[in-house]
Amino acid sequence: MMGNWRRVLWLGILAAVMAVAIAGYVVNRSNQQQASTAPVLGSAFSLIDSDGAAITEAAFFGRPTVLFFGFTQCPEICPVSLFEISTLMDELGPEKRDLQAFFISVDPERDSPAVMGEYIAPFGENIRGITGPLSAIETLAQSWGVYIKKVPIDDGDYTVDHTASVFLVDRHGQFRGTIAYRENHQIALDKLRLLASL
Amino acid sequence: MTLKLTQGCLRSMKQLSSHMIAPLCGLVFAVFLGLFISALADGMNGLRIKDGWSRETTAGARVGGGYLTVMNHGQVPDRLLAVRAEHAGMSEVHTMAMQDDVMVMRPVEEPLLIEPGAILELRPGGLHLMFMQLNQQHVAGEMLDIVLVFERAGELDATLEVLSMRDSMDRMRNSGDHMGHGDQASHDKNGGANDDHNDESHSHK
Repeated sequence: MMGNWRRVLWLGILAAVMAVAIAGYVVNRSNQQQASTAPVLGSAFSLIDSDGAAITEAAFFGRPTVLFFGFTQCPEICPVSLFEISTLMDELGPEKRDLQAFFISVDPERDSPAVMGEYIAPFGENIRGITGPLSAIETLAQSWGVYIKKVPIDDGDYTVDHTASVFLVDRHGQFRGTIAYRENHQIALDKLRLLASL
Repeated sequence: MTLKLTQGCLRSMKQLSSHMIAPLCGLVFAVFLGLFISALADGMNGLRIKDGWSRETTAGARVGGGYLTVMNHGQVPDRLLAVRAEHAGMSEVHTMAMQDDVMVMRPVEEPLLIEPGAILELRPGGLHLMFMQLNQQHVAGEMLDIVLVFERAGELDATLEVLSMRDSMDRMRNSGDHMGHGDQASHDKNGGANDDHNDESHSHK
């Protein structure tokens, strides 16, 4: 009689251990699958922000983040995109939470921290500039799949062809999507609201 | 000639009843007057510049854009050779296009052709005036005086109204710019290439 009970008890423990092991395996497996299907964007960096302070990839963790690559000597796309980002953030109101935005220069040779700071100031305190050595900027841009090409124009001047998408990154540093240039305002607003709530 | 014609009319009036000949003479005068005016207009340039505007710039900005429309009401084609602005160290006509999410901007390679009856539009998302080395901020509410240099019409003054960022966004939405219609490629092509403007102009003939 006692032997039977002991056998049942042992079987129960064995079953429980197996269930935990299987559950652990399944959870682990699905996590791995998630990690392998989500695009891995971004890389470690050491640059300077528009206040002249050192900034690293750590700035993109812990807060939902909007990233935009551009430069100050750009007449349309850059001011319009910055204005849109700043307007959208204002419109979110309290739903903005701790959403932050960064304007990363694709023309760091001309965009010093001071130039960037002055340029972005009217777009509000939620947007910070990032600049630094050209090679470091190029590496960072490449890690985000951002195309940058310096193109000479007249009189020794130049312009910079660059990817104009706005990147949305959640507070865990995970890439969540993009906002295209001149995307429908309501859709862009919904995307930002979702990002801020994640 | 007009005098001879008048005398002719007066002589005819002696032979015919005046109530029949007077309207005829009026018609002849009207035709001559029309020819005279059109000859005068032919001598002048038929270019009309309108709807000039620019976006306000932030204090740190070294460049600014400008947009306007040129209509050719004349009988001859013309070309936009250059743009001059005192508030900028260098001014050019540029074209801009989005290619796979990449912003590509270039000075136009050849002067933009405007055929008779054609309209040249410089607007967001495509052709624009590019002011570089700004020595003055574009301040909302102010007017910018610029000069457009044409091959035939010569130098024509134009003004650009500086719009606030918010107003410029409204203008972009309302003017049916090249972006945000889901068919950017075809629009950009029309706005960006000189050849397409030639085609456009021919179709007006």
